[in-house]
Amino acid sequence: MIFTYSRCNLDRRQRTLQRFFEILPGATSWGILLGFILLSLWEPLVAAALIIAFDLYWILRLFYMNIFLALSYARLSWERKTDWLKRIDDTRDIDRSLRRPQAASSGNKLPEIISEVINRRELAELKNSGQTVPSYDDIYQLVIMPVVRESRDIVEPGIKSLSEGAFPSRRILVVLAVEERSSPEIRDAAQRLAAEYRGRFLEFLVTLHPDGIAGEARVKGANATFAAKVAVGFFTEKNIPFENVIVSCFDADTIVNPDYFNCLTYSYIVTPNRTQASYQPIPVYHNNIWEAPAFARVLDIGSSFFQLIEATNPEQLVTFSSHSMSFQALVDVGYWPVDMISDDSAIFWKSYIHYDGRYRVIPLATTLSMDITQAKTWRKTLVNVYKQKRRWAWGVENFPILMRAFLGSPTIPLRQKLRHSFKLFEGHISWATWPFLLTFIGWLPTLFAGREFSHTVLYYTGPRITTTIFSLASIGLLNCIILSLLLLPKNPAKNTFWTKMGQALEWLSVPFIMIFLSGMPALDAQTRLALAKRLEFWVTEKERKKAADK
Amino acid sequence: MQKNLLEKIAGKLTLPGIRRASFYFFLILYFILCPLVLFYAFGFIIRPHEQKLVQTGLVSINTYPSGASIYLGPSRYIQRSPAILSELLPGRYNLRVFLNRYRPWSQSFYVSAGKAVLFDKVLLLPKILMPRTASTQAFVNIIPLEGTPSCILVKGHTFKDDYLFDGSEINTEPLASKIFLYADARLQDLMTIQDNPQAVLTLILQKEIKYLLLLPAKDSLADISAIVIRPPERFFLDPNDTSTIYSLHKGQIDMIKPQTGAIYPEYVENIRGFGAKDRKLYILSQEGVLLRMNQDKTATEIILSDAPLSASIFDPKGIYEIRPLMPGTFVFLGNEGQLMTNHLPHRICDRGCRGISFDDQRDRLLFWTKNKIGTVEFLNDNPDNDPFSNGSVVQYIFEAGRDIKQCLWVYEGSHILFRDADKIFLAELVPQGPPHIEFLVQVKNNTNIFYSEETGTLYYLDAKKEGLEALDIVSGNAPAALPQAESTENQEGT
Repeated sequence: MIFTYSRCNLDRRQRTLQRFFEILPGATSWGILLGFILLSLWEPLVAAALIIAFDLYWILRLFYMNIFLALSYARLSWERKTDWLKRIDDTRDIDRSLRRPQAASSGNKLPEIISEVINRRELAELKNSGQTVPSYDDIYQLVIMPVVRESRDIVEPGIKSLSEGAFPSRRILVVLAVEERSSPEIRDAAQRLAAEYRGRFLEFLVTLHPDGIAGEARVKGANATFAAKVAVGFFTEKNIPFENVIVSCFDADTIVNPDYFNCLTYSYIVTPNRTQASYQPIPVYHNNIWEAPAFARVLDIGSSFFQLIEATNPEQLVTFSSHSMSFQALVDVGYWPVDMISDDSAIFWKSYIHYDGRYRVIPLATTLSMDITQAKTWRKTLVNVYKQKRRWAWGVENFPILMRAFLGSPTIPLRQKLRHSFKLFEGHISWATWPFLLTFIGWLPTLFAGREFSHTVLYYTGPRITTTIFSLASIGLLNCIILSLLLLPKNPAKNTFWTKMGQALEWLSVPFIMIFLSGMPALDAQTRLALAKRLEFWVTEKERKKAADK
Repeated sequence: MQKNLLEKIAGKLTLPGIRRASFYFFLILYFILCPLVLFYAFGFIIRPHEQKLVQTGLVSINTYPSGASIYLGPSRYIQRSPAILSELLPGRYNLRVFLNRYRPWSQSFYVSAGKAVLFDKVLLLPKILMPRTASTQAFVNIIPLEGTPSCILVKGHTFKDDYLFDGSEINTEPLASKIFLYADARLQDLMTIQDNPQAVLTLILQKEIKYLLLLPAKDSLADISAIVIRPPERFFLDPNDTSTIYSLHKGQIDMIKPQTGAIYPEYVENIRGFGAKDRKLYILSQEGVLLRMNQDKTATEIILSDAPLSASIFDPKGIYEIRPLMPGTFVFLGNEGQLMTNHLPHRICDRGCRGISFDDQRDRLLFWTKNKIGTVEFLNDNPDNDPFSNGSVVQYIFEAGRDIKQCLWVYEGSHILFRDADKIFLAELVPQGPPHIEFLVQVKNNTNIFYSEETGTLYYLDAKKEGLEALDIVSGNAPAALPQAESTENQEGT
């Protein structure tokens, strides 16, 4: 479908639709919150009953999500030992690989059996698709790292991880996409990095994205698009087909795990219609996790958990943060949106619409590590985290564009349209409303109780039921605490019993985080969108202690 | 063999498949659980014998002191007060509460489906009341200072015999020590108002009238005689404005600012009624028009201008004290003891009302005459904005008084303490049925009582010793918070 994935240059009808769908999420969230408050005042009995129904829905959903969090974590840990290169080798002769005796016969354990079963299923699917299988040796990686004000301390570990991974770095093109408005120090550091590391890669380019290109906003997508266009010239010149290039757009602080590109390449090879897919690893925030304040640590572990849960639902998975995709698809869809902040999810929706719904996200059983937002002071970190989460929540800007595209698309199946639009809408609404409903508004019917309501059975049973539900929720919280302790890297300072207890107790800050660093930023973003007060791209401040400081 | 089975199972299972199955499982679970939980929340239970769904009610009981045994009908509950007894089938019950060394308490009540009956402020009185001596000195009388946590203890007939008492200690210096010139004066009258922490004292010194302003919280007593330029028939105070006093003289109001010494003579003229609250003046004109205006006489609003209605409410003669109780509710207290309100039926007491006290937590007015004690509950049942069309419920809780002199709200408005002649009674207002009335003590004839809500202690002059006695009615900490509801299954045998 030909669709301009942008809110700009619309005709009158489209502009009206765009505004309507921009207002809808914010209006719905405010409607729910204010509706509950007013209902608590006017009809506390109805409000209390609705709150109980909601609390019950929430606890069941929490359990449901916890199951998949545990499953997803299990899959991630099972695949840690996977020899991806061997798996890639198996794709050279699929028939022979499928005929090979199964792991059970060789006395393997359950995780290995499951891993192999998944592998066989993927090979069988590839075989059944009848599509050609690209050779591992023909696959190239393009890594674009947009830089605005990230210093060498932030960028270099990521570059180093690219060169030291299991994938041959001689087939990796690194593009450090620097903004023209960046300081001379940043630009010089980029050039010095390129000079230092060029010899290890296929090529190491530094692009300078000019400011003020017509139609562009000051967003990351514009910079990345500029870099991708430079890479087009490079690959064309080298006669490397775009379908053999996997492009990864990484945040400047991204450190890949050594197996990342092999895992990615395996997934790319075994995925039928591989160019019509994005590849999503699990983002973890381990780079500076022990330097960040507890609230920021808990919040970002929560983000990783959310991504782990989402990974179990590939049918509705949407790209987030650092991820990879086919370079062919990127060129076909016209690169990243150059006027949107949420380029990570927008590129998925843009591709989804371009390919009439025949585009998907393949979850990768591997991780990418990034920095937790951090500043020099605790208070500034709090403000920065708030701004970062608001930027993430600004992903709601995709909703109006997507809805316009869906309304105008006769080719995307209606069921898919309904599922995707409902999930996107419901996700943002629950993000902005649940924290308030759970921690504050849910108690209002009891607090505002007039004489009439305080003389009903519900006045007494309501808080009792809510308290029971919240007690049950602690089981979910316990699951999160256990998994977080398993997922976290070792604390270089000390890792005593008391340190671990301290880490577990950090989760008690969840109610505070829910309100101030999750619900409020989301409501803020939706309100701004509804009022047409657009967000400027704000580069997250990253601080890492230098080795000497540690 | 086992591993092959595992392999087969793993081969069949796909993550989207597990996810879909789990989704439907939780969806079905929600649709089953949600109605069940909501039914439970509204008090529905299944009667095992009849296999029938019935809606139950509950009773909440909170006693002071806590820890009392609870009997409902013939069943004794394991749980002690405070307690919530839930899953009670609709019907009449008899609730009894026992605590060692305290008088038993019982109440018959009706439980309706889905409703809660609250006995949330049950005061258990000791079987033997044990007053303690607060002072061995003999006093003539007690003058409570309404709106303050203090009273004046009168020891003799002159001002030098009057002491301030704040519920914890008696000032060793008499009030007159602050203005020693008036030591031989006689306390003639005292003007206080609920919620206003000051009192205006009228003294007579050698046939000359003197006026003092007493602020017990600041231990201050100031002579304001110089700024009371005309002998007032009475004073008016604004409960929320300690900087202003209004004095009435022949239908005219003088406004006095004691702190600055400013006087505004004849500030309001030709009135039949006057009141002040929140620096707003309420004026009933000679024509029967009720007005409200700011203290600086701006923003005048007419509240009542219906002459026939005004004539039916107010008597043609006399001056009314207007007491605004809450937004949209006023009472009018005539100098012959008429008690009127803007709520229907307007006339509560034609004459003989001896006093009123408003409970702002439960929005109820307490009033009393020589023989009766009543409460007024103000309704907000009129959709129009006409403040004279809302209704009210007048309920007499005691009608056999000999000579009721004082009435006080006690224990956050759940009880009424009253003095009938020289006997003190405590009346507990219960949700259903007549109040429980308990005799407490006999006091010295023609003397007042003083109750400190802060400490929960009653002070009175002993009938024989004439010393100051203290009786703890609600002392110590407040009763414990209510626990979770307990079902009727949680009970012992009889």
